[in-house]
Amino acid sequence: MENINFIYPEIFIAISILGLLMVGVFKTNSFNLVTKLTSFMFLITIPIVFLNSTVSMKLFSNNYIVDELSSFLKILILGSSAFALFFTDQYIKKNKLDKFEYPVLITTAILGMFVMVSSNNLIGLYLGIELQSLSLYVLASLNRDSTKSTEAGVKYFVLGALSSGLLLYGCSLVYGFTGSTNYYVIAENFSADNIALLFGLVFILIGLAFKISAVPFHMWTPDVYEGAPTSVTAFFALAPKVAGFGAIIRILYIAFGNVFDEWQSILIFISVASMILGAVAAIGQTNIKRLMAYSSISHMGYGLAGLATGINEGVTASVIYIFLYVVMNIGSFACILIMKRKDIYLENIRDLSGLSKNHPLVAFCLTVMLFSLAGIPPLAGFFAKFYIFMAVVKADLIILAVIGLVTSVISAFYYLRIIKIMYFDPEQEKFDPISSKGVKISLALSTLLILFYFLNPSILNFFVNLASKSVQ
Amino acid sequence: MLAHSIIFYFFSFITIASSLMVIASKNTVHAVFFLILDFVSISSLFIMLGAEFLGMLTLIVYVGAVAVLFLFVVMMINVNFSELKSGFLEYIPFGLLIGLVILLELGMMIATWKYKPDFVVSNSIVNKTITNTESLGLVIYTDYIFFFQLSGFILLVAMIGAIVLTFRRKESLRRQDITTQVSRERTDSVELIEVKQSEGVKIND
Amino acid sequence: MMSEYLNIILFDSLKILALLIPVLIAVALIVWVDRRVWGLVQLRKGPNVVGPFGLFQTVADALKYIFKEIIIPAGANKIIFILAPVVTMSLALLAWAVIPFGENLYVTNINVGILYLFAVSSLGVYGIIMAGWASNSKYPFLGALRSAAQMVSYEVSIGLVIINVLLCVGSLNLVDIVIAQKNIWFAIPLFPMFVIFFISALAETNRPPFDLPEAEAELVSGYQTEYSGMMYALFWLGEYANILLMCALGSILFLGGWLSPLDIAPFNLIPSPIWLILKILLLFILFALVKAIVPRYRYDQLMRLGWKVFLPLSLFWVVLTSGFLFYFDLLPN
Repeated sequence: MENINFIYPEIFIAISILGLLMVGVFKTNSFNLVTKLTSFMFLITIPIVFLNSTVSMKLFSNNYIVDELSSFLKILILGSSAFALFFTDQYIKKNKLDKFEYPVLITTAILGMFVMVSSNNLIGLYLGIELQSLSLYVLASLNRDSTKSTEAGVKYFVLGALSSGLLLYGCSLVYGFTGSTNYYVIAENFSADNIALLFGLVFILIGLAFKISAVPFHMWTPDVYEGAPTSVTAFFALAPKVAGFGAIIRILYIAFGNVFDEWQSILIFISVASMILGAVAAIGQTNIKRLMAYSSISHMGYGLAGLATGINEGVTASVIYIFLYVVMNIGSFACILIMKRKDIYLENIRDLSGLSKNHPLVAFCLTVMLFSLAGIPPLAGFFAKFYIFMAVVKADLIILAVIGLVTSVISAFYYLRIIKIMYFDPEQEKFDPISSKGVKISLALSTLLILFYFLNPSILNFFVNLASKSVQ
Repeated sequence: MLAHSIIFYFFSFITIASSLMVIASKNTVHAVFFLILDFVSISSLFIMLGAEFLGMLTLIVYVGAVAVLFLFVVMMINVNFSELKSGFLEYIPFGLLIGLVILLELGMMIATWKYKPDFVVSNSIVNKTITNTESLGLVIYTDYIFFFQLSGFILLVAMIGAIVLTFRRKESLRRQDITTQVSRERTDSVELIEVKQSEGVKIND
Repeated sequence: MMSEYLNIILFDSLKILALLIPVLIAVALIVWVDRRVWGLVQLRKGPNVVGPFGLFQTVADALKYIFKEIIIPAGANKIIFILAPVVTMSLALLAWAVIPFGENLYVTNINVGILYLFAVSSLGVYGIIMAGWASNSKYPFLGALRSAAQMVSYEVSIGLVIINVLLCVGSLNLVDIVIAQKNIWFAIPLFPMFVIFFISALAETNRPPFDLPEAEAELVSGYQTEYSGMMYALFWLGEYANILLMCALGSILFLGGWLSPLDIAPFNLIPSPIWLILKILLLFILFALVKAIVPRYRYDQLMRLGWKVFLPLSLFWVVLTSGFLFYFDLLPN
């Protein structure tokens, strides 16, 4: 009980959820109010998390850990969700999604993600994942009058339930053979000789790979990204990935840290498959949301490559990668939300033509984002990939590095194609002027960060280093 | 122990047989009834393991509430079974494959369990001297309070989700508001007016 | 070895018989009580012809049902159609196994007795829902749906009421629950919960004013429409056995079970089962009075009462009770 102040962020979020629900129920048409309160709550929670960011506490009999890594990821989750709420306000209202439950569900998802990155127990991991996923399922089908949106929700739900089942099966195997759900006890009792335990490990990995949409458990991603409302897709592409990474880092490096050799090959396979599929399958896409889905799959591949090294540099590189990935996606989705003609939001890549004439600044920002996603120096995306490859090479996984390089060249093709459409294709009708402040600010901030990251990369690296040390 | 094992095998047999029938029966309502039978025999197995609290909760929650609503839905929707079954054969190999894998898994698990009994670590938190209701209560509200509250939140989200996705307020519907109905006074609705002869009353609405 | 088993089986069977036969007789008598009370309220005589005071009326009715033909509709699902009344009746009787008639007077005493009772009573809905579906007819189906929704709704508030009692007892054992009321019956400190329990029990057993599942005006007696002969009688008896069970549960939870109201000479000499039976009878007469006096609810009113009034109220009372017990350090160990 005396350590309860270390979970103040979680308690605060939980109480806010209840409060926000009360506001929403008793005040009609309270979307604006609830959204404002939610954003305000995010702003308050960030410093609360920050206050605990230098401690390393084990709570509830070692079942819950608050340390530098979890605090870093939590701030990242909060920040990205705040942006996802901030720059989508106009889209939400235009598409009649302005129900007060929208921000509330985002908040519950965040609570789940907090638990995912902090939990040191399989039960907590599962509960966190469920809390997050349930909120996401509902968000995906929030536009219930649209067939695509409901289809996305149902697809996500069915496949998500399946993966949860696999995860639980894995958890039960691990629990049965180690006698505990606590990561420390699992690490003590885990023996690589036991086949059933390895099966448990594999099942848990499958469940987690599904949640961050890594190949071969990626099938839901393009459909869900396309079907869900764009504002929700933006959220999907940001915070859940961070949380999934947090959970994977913690379970692999703490619970299964002793059997590194056993899971390394699995991780390498998932990573290679994600990189290749993400790069190749994106080429033929015409819908920009689907394209972003494949792009996120391939980026997850790079992130996992860092984790597959098993060394401290690898984890650091992965965390940096996921941070920059989030920033780049904020920028990209802000641009997608600008694609609007005659008050109708567009989703086709072809519709981008003429952007450079109407909105030269936006076109420039999107170009920066895409170059960065492709990993072209001196933008931040290049550094992100560079750190990963450094770590991979250091861990003697030359082939992984080579495949990574080749796929990033392939993926550069489709990023460049968008740039070509923007700048060189004939102009269509004019785009609507940008009226949303949120979009402007998010786009400006993310572009600046991506552009000028190379000036002083060590600031971020310092924090991430601090964070990733805590799992070693 | 003979009686014990006879009862155990009896319930196990029913559990397995009824779960097979759940997927084999042609009528969905029958399938749900077999599912209920499955739940009941599982709860009996729980009780035989000495986990009477869990067993009873399975009965109350799954059989008493979840399955009823399930049955409710299944009874109300008219599924065209022949259509549903038409593609069934194509999925048999895939289904068999998955089944085989899981069976293999279970076999492997049992084998490892049997041949390495020393491996299984028992650090059970269950204290044998108190009832299992009490021992559950002792850990749920202390070590696992965080996770316990969290599961509450999951249920809350499920509720919010169900309401968001299905609730539509029909404006055309007239709703009964019992408080206004009851608190309505005679003076609010009836007015006594002296009617003058050959002038009538002017009604202002 | 074998003889030992045989002994156990024989002894237990005798115990069960010693319980079941009186329960069945009680059910028959209680139907008579019900009709007499109803008659009294309406200034009629009620059944008074067969036997002394008409006591054997139910027996006569049962005989009549036995000799009638059992009709199974052609479109019915035969197995489930026949199973439904059997399920209703046997579940109603199953629950009596844990009811304690005295400190050592019960068929079995399990440490989660109250959960067992709650579980079995929540299974009661299956008899009705099976009957409604298997009849393959509109009215029975509508009745079954109504009944399922109603019973599930009111189980929630009954569950919360039971939690209130359990907080004061600290055990799930029925004997412990009764013994905890040695000083004061829970009906006094938890009076609002007793009222909620009573009303929810009416709804749970489909008694008036909540008898919508069989509402004869709209549904021509709901799920029982297609039943005839002994199968109908089984439903009818099962329903009364359930009512009796709810009364027994109410007496055990709130009225001190087998305990005498005052622990002094003339009262505590009376054997404990008599007290329990008297309390059950008292509650049942209340049931019968309600049936005679209160008009039927509309369905949306019924749902509103269950979800919007009883659920929040009983939940609030759980918080209140636990807060009170905690603050004054009265929590049982």
